[in-house]
Amino acid sequence: MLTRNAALLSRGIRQASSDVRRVTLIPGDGIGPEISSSVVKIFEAAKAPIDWDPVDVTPVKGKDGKMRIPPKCIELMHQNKVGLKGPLATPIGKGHRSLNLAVRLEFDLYANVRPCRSLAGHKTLYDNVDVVTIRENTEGEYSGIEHEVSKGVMQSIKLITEKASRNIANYAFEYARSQGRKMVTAVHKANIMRMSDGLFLRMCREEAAKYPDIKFKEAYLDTVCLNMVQDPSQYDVLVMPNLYGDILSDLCAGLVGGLGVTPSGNIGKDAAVFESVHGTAPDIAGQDKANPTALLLSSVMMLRYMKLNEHARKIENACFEAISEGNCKTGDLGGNGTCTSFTNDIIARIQNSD
Amino acid sequence: SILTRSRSVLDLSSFHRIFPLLDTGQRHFLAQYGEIADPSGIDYEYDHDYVEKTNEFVPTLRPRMFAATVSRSYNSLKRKHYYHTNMVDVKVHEENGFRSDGVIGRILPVYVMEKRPMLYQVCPQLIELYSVLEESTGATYLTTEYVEVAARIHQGWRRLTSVGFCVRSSHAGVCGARLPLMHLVGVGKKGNDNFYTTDMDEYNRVNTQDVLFRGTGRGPLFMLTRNVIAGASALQKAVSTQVATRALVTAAASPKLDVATKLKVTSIPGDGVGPELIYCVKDIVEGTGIPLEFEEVFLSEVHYSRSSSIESAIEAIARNNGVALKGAIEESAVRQAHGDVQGLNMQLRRQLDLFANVVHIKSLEGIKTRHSNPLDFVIVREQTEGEYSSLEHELVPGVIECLKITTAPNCERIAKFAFDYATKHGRKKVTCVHKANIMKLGDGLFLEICKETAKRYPRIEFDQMIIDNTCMQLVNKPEQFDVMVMPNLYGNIVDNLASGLVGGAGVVTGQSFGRDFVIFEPGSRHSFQQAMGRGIANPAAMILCTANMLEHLHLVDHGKALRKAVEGVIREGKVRTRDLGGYSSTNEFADAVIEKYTI
Repeated sequence: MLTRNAALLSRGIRQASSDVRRVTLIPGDGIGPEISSSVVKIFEAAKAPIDWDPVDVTPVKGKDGKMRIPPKCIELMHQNKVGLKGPLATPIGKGHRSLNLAVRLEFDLYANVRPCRSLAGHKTLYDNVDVVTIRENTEGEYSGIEHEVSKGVMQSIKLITEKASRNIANYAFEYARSQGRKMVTAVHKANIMRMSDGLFLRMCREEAAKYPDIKFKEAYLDTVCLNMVQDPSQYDVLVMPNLYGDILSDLCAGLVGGLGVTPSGNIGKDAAVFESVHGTAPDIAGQDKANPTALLLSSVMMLRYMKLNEHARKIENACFEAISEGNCKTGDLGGNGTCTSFTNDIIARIQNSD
Repeated sequence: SILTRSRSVLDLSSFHRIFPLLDTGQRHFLAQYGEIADPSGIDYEYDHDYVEKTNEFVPTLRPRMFAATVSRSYNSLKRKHYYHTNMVDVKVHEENGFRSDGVIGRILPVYVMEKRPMLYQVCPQLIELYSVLEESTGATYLTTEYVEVAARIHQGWRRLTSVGFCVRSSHAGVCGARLPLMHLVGVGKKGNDNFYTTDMDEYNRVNTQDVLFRGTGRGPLFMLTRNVIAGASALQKAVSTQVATRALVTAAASPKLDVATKLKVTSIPGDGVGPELIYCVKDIVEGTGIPLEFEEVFLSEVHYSRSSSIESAIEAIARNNGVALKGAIEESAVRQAHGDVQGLNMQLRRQLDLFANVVHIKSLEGIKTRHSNPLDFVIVREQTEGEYSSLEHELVPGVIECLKITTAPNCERIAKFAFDYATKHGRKKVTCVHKANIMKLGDGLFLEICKETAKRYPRIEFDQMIIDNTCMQLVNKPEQFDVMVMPNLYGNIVDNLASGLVGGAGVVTGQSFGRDFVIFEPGSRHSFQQAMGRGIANPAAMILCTANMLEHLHLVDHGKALRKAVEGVIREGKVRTRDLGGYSSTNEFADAVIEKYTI
């Protein structure tokens, strides 16, 4: 009885949109703080029922000597269950694990979702892109397990498990169904990596059988690359293991205008972190030149995840309008504005639409 | 002189054109032999052992020998080849860590007449025969001190004049030119005529007549026989019309020396539309008179019961100039249950050690692409290790581990190849594509080695880029790339991505390089099963591969003409296959190319 009430209560908390939700905000490094504050201001203007808990995830030395995310941050995340993350710096080849990776593993955010849609007003060489890449986020080539077997011989281990593959396949079909998508394509290289990608494919096929309303296709990674740059409209939702997903999602982002305009979400069973995937751009940090679109669109994804669809729609429309019509957009979008002017433009449009 | 100095069959200038594949060391070695014995008295002297010192060849006087077995060793630090005729020196080199290539052949000394070096046909059969003679007779006198080369055939007695021979023997056909190398038993003179024979009986019989025989008092004389000389003259003629000559040097071990007028290469049609494309190439080769001959090898994973074995395929490739034209071989899901069984493609690459895959991305006029700037860059991909090592296993049910192996020697090899390629083709920049931020050890090693190698090539700019960013840059600003070098999987992705940029799998060529073998195949390897048998596939890639292959085989003019023809057909735009927006068939494209071909 008690557990049932608790369950109902917690469900109620999650579903009541009039309640204020707490979201962990990780501003990040470089341009992170600027674009985070843009998002916060825009949310205020849209009267979104979100309260932010900003944290710093710079790793600290744990008791065992290893660098870890500060425990306070972890506690907050477990409490809030939703996070918005700005860009974090990752040192190349330095030896400690990537922070992004650590955040994902800590909260078992097993699915990385990146919808790539061509933006009206930001013209690229590819017009009709509407692809969603869903990538397995916890294992695969990024398991981080590497060692030097003997001098000059390095071994990197790619791990594929049935559980993770099933989870991601299931998520992909659920996502397709909930977003009204028609087709899911599994991207793999099972002709070469027969056992590992073979397992992944098998799980996808099993899940596909449970969703007869959604078309399921399988395609080799190289075929997808070849076709994507010739005709991106032939793909809808793509699901794949970690490494391919990383590369393909960046490829798709490139088709629509780069990482500066692409949202991304990392979804787990009961937590989610939405993030901007561009770099920290230290060269323009602090100069009000940063483009907050990526983080803003990610926060819109977050609102949808939290079922605050009305607010999501308002902010998204304002953002798209600002990009297609306005001339306050930042330099990378082809405008002459600053971060602040762009933010204010969006705020103005939100307030006008009310 | 008793024997008229034979006319030079080949002089050194033609030598360079005929044997351009020999590296400088070999040429020096063969060309700088000492002086041949003039029958009137000068003895042979030639170098016994060739070691390169400061780019200058310093001949040393050694005891004279007839024909020498040449072995080769390689110093990878100095990047030089060394040639030896002396086993002791081979051992010394091996002990000093030089890689030994073993025996690479045998040579005849160069004939020097009046201080003008000339070269006679280096014929493997000739040398083999010599050793057979030597072994069978066991006679020490066979290790002669000099060689005479006759410019005419001999059969029975021949009168050697400055104009020609005439038959005088009653033993016509007895001592005919059965073998490439004949032992001159007797040399005689009567009046102004010179005679010689290879038959001891004849010698004995005639000796009693009024022909004065000098005999072979200085040791036996040997001659090259008609086949060889005829072959050599054909060679000389061939050089002027630039028909392939390499086959002569690498001919199979048949006792009869055939003059090759066509170069043999292996073709591996593969699956899907591969066979159609190869037949298309064959049609073009026949229709244009390109001197190529294909030996087909059926390799297939899907049709494994009928497929040749890898070993026989490799033998075929080795037999046919080490070159093959290949279609895509489909990997079959049916056969492998285990993760450590390599597919046929990987086996072929591993066994032939085709470590570098070079795909040349070039915009072709007449193909509309989304980018306005013409593209011209090269992707160098390591293709023997990395993610495709096929080392997979199931740890516990439901957990599979796949190993990606990166080794320092292979990284060094591919990095050096990329920079050498860039140097050879006048490229300015090499970009290393990696993911060392995540795979710190594996790709970190690759990146490190590329950086180290870059230091040895100060004239070539070096850059590095993470694979994600590379993909984005390729779809937005592909013109920034020049030469890219990367491990296996990223190479696969980038090859296909870049192929899509310039028109798809039907127009991009690729080559897989090993030390001793090259396989030419389309750059993005798709068998295009859906189009199999329908005759709609675009053969441009395969034809351009053939053009590359012709250039590799030193049939440069043919290669250039073929490439021009294909580019012309595409530029005109009248005959276009479906991938380029038209409805023409494979054969129609081939016909158009044949029509446009002019050499």
